[in-house]
Amino acid sequence: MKILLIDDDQALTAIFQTALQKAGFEVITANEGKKGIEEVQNQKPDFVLLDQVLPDMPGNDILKAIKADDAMKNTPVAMLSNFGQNELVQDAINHGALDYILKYQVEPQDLVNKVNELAKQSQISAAA
Amino acid sequence: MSGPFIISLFTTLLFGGLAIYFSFLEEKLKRNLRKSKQIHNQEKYQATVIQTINDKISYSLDIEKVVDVITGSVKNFFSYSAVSSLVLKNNTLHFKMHCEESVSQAFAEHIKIDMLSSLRALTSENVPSHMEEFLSGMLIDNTKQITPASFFHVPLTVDNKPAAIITIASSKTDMYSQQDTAVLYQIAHQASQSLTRLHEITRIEKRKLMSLIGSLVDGVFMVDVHSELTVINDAAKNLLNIQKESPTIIDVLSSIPQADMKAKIEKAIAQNTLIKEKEIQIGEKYVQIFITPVFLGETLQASQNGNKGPVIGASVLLHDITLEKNLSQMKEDFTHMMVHELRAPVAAMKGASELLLTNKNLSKDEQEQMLTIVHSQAIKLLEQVGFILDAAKVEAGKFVMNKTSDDLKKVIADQIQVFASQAETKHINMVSDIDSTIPLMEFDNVRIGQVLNNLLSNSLKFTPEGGTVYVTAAYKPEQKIVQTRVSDTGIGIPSDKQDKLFSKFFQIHENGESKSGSGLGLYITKGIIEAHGGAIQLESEAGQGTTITFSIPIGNPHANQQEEAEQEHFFHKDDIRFELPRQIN
Repeated sequence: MKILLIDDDQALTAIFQTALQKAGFEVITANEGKKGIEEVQNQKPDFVLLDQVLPDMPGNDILKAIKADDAMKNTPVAMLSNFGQNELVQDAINHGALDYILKYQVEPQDLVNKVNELAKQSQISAAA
Repeated sequence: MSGPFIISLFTTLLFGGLAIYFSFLEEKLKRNLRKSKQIHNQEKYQATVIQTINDKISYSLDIEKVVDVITGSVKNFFSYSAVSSLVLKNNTLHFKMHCEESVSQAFAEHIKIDMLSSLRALTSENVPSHMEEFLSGMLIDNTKQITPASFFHVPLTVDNKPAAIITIASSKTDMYSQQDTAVLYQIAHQASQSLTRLHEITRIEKRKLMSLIGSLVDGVFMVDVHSELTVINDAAKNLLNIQKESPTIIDVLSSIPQADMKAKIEKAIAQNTLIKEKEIQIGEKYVQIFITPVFLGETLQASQNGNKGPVIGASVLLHDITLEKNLSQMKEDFTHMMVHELRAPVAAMKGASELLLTNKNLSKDEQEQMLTIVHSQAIKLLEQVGFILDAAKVEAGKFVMNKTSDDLKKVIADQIQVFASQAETKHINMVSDIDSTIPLMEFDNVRIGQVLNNLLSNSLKFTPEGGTVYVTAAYKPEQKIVQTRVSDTGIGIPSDKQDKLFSKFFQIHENGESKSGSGLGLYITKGIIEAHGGAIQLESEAGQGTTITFSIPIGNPHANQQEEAEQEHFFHKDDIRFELPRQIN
């Protein structure tokens, strides 16, 4: 399964990427919004982990762009959040994000578990 | 003719003559007595009138009332057909005429016109045209073909300005002698003096009050029951952004439409209660508003009854809380920044070490990668803490530079080298032009290195791919400085944000975009430059690029003394006070 990780924090990206790869996922990364959208279009990942705060545009805008595009809109997306449940996160969920993950608190193994869980969920709903 | 007859005739003539003489004397004496009695009475009445006037004046400065007292008493001194008064009050003329005997309309008109022209003659200002008339006493009888044959005018002035004219008129001729009129002149003069004196006293008291109100830091204004603005101080005008010298209530209300002042003032007055508005934004300021009804409460009766008297208006207090609001915003921003800048490296350290501890399948390379992350993030964290400490030192004026004799050219070149690979990755061209004549100088090479690091880092961060960063340094011997410049072709800084550039927590970001960096960098940079006795400035245009120029003196100026240290640091909206812990270096 191919995962796209869109986040500008290099250290965290390296850690998450390693953890996910060790769990058997293929991981591609992008460190800014525009590149992220390109990668979704070109690489067609099975799952997207999207940072809420990016250098060039807000994460929620990228989410909306993905969900607005016919080709991309079915890609499951989970948000990487700094602070947890807040208006920003709620807005993301309202626009189709599956869930949010606390990027500074999540243990790498928990991240892997969460991605597995959410991926299964969306497969079930896609199949239905 | 016999002797006894002559004697008796002579005696009769003598006594007769004496009798006539004495009777003349008696008449004369009687006349004098009557006259002095009359004068005595006049003086008595004069005193009474003056007393009444003074009593009346002590309750009110109302000229009309004072004039009424005078015209009411005049019958004690004179006989007349009519007594009239013309009072100038509130930009209106008040004409009153009281008739002891019936006169014709023409009679009244004649008097009125004559009084008007007298008044006009007395003043250089325009006399209002609006006149109210009030006639009393005997009815107008137009059959009476009488004219005012004798009359005289007595003017009343207050503050050297004519305020009223009193006229006595009679249909008979030669009624009023100089002596007669003198009485009335004296009374009028007394009244003038008392009124003028009282005016002066109230003016002085008012001036004291206005001084007090004017000195207040808070804004204050008062409205009367008709919602007219009676008083406003400069602080209020500033808060409301009113430039007019004498604004009206309209100016005030329209400056804060969002506060709905009219309704609130009416409510405060109607319900006799304090109305408070916790926070209203006026432009960039935040203001608290307090509205209080104001009572007359001055009369003895009113306070004796425990009654405050009638409400005469409302006072409005404007209290500037912009500082407090900014402060709480700054604290919020600071916490936000701390949470992010300190948490990110720690989270990375935690994540990397967790992976190392829990995942036994990591390759050697992956293990090394994780350990490197732990290490570099730890360095980053210490660096971040160092920045916060530096900022505190700048703030406290205790930012001490460790100056040694060193080569600035090398420090600049070293820093350019640090960013070489990053620039290459981003396809940014780094161009340098360092003046070879720059001599050795006294400066803190670590701190100046930090400055260059900060400036280069910013330029690279905010310049898109394909752009250019220029670094130049020039020796200016006439000014005894070395001027260094870092310039880029990046996104620039919008002009409305430029003056905040060197303040704490400055970052250009929009909501939802990455707040990378603590925002302290430029604040510390400025602190370093100024601690060297140098100066730093910014030129930038949004979309064009940014140039930051700083200069460092060659010689040894007032060394480590930071000028800010002794400056009076009244809470500036840009400040959050950092408290420097005692045992820190």
